Amino acid sequence: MHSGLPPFVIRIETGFKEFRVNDRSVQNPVTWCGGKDKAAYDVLVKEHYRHVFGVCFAMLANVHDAEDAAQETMLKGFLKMRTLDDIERFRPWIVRVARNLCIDRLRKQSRRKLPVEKPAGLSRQDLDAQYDLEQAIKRLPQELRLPLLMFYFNGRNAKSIAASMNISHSGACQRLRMARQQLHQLLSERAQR
Amino acid sequence: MNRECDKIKDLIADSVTETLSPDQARQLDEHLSGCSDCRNYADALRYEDVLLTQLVVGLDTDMRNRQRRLLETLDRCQSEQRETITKWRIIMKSPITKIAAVAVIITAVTFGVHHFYGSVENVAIADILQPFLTARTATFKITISGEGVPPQEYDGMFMEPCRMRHTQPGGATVIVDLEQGKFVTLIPQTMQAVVLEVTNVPEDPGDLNFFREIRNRILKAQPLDDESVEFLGEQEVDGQLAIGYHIRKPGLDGTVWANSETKMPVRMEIREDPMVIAMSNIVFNVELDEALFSLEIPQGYSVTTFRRDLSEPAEQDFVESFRIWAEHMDGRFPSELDRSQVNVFMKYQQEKMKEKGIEPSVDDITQLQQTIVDMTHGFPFVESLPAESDWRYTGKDVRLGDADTPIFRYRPKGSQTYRVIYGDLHVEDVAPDKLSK
Repeated sequence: MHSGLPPFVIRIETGFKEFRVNDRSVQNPVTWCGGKDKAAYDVLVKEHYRHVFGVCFAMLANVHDAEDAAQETMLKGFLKMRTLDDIERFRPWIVRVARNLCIDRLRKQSRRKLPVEKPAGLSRQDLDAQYDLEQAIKRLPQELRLPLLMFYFNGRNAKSIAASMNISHSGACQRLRMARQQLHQLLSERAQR
Repeated sequence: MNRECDKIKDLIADSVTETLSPDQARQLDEHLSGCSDCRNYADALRYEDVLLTQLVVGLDTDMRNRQRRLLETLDRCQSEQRETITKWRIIMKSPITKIAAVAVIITAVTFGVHHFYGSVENVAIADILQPFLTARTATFKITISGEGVPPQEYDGMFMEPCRMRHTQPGGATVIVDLEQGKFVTLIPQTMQAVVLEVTNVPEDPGDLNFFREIRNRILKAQPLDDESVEFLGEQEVDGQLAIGYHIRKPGLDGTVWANSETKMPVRMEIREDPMVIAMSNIVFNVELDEALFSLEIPQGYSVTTFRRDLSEPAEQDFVESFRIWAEHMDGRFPSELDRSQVNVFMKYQQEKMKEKGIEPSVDDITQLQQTIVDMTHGFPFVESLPAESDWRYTGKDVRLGDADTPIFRYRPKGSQTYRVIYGDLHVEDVAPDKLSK
């Protein structure tokens, strides 16, 4: 910044990479939008964002991390849209991006622990119960946590869990059953402490 | 609890998932009517089902906002694309503060205190501004907004003597250490690091570091007299009851709001036509880990390095900028000396690459970027010339190598003659009556 004149910023972009170098302070060096048809992508965002967020939350069990990961996923999707041949395959493709991204985050997260925020708008008793629930969810193994939470995100539909996890319907039901039983076990252990 | 109960527990879990057959449902009902343990278990799982449903309902209540935030981020990307008429864009900036100004600052620091406390209002504003002058560290949010451009936000950190770190949410992090002469930009999404090595860092490198720039401007604005400071009264700012002042001095047109009770700054806004740069969420002297300002490139990042001379451009740098321009523009000079001209340069290079019909290599791009960095070093020379230098640019239709036609002239301060740059880039001293019309 300098009186009367905007920052000297050089922005250089190409089809495969772009960045901005500031003469004096390298402000905002990067944008990473590769997709062209933003309006079309907005439609995809509106259609799939909630599902992507659900996957991220199911994997990360933390609202803020899930929002970050979902945003990063959708931006990555925007950037890499051109690599997707069939738009009909967007849902499984973007879910795969989300899952890979969450796996990376989980690896990094293993080095740090974040507190769980208590959701607002509930009674004290429910707040405590929700807090306990989230703690217990975190302790569920990934292969059970994902179908359980996606069951609630997908309108209590076990069939869609089977399809999105590429497992049989009975397999999905079995995982849901085990998830409920283990979750109850974990909650009971918390209650006894 | 018996063996049957174990099987019933599976049915209870399935019943919550609503996947029981009618026969299984009947079997479950019969068992539950006679087994209190299983009834309790069923109640517990149903309660947990309610909690899980509530959890997702709770998450859904903010889903629209999350989606909006994402779309805004995408919009920012889109508008930046739109804004970029060519694939490249340059916005130029004038040379940074002259060495002479340093003396003014020192004077202000040494002698300005007297004036600083000159009136009732200024006592208050002095208190408010003090943390900007003395803080060892600070964290804050920077919002840069301008008409027709989506606001850009950064989380900023400052550490003495001149370290700075700012991060665009979901984007790149820039770490500046002027003592080391380095700017490191880390782009996690693409695992890229851009290193800018700077030389000849000026003694007053305020605008290389946002916080330092604010500090310098406050210092330069001294003394703050009643004419330059307007009390704005009390109002709620960023959720706090705050008092505000508008400061109008050359180089500082800004508003500062401070908590009414603590007098600690809540918000600082500086107008840089056509932008407004706001600093909020300010916390002074917070403990910051030195590692946050580490210039070390994380493993796995690809690194691109640029070098930039930050010395005040002199005439020879100006001439060199013309040379680089003309050599890359088929012998032509800029049609006018205007910041927007650099866009023309970018577009032309892009067209040339397109004509070649091949995607430029990373080395090509890096080379071009360095060329642009080098070229733009000299042009701010013209912005440092005062009006009385009577400078004039006439290079529009001149070709590189034309030794007879001047492209630029100016009269250095105190000089009787003009300096004239010709199309072959030689420079002559010319008496005013010998200037070509």
